[in-house]
Amino acid sequence: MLNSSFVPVYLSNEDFLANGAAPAAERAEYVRMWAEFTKLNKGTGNVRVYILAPDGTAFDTLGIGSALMTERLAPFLASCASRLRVQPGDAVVPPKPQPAAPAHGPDSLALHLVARGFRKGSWREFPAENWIVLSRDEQLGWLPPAAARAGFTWTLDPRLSRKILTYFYPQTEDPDSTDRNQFLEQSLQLRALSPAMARIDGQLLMKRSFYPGRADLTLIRARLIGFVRIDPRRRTIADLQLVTHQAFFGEEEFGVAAARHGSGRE
Amino acid sequence: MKKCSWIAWLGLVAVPASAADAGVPNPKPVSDAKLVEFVERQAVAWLPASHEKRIDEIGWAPSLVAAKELARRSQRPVFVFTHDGRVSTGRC
Repeated sequence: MLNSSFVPVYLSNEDFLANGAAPAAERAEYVRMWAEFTKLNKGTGNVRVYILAPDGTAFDTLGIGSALMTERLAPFLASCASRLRVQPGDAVVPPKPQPAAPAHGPDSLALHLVARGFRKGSWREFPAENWIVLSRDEQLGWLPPAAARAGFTWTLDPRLSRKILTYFYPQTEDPDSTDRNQFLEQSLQLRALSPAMARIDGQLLMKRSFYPGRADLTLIRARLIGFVRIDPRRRTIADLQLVTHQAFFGEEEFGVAAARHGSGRE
Repeated sequence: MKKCSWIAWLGLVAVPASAADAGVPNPKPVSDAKLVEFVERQAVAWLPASHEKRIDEIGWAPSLVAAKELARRSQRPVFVFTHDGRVSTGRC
């Protein structure tokens, strides 16, 4: 019904904070929408469904508690569509994967990361995903010296490993993108297997609160394994894959995998 | 003992001195010969399943401004979902 009768859009409140990413025109519409729904007096809230009529005016709204229940959301949407005399049809916007890979230059490398806790229940209905883009210079930091032979070992610059490992935690409550990890120990050791391949072994010891702003930090313990395929001629990374070999968030086991976008696993 | 010394001491006992002290797992080693197969298998196994990506089945407008313009042209209402964090990545 969302595709056939509505124009769906999701908005992260974080983008509309003072330092948020929303452009001025988007902010103006967001403020106007809030003002109209406040005046409509059917309820407002940060996490909520709002329906705008085709002319853009505030029409109806549904609290998140009800919106999470199909038996309440479906009749609400049907009622809105009926009252607005919507003629159902094809989706106005073609569906596409969310989140899409971020735009990045031809010399950059985009890694797609998937993290999932292995217990059941809230926050475990679907995995978390992140995109990490490595610049040309950052990729060079992953490579051995050009003359390195098989068996050569090196440790990755902690700034580079942190850029990836900071996402090595399962789903937690993340109302914004603030990095609240406390790194205790992190290391990624590489060993050249050939001029075009290196093995990665590593470990991570990090603390993170499940909820933001809380003092009860959970210990993250992880052993990591992966590989880098190197293009020796261009001195770039042809593929990079890094996964948890075994990892725990407190007592809960979790898994994280980061791999080059387009490495064939999608 | 000064109060700050107590805090430092507490910090030392609360934070494991090393990964080994903290009980970082020590799983069965993977040989070089099996490395790629092991890592790729794991990376694929943890990808979101189709039932975990129902959000991809919805044609989302890229912004509120765009949604309102598309609504005006198509005479459809706009479904706006406001949320904290990033619902598209599951970090929310």
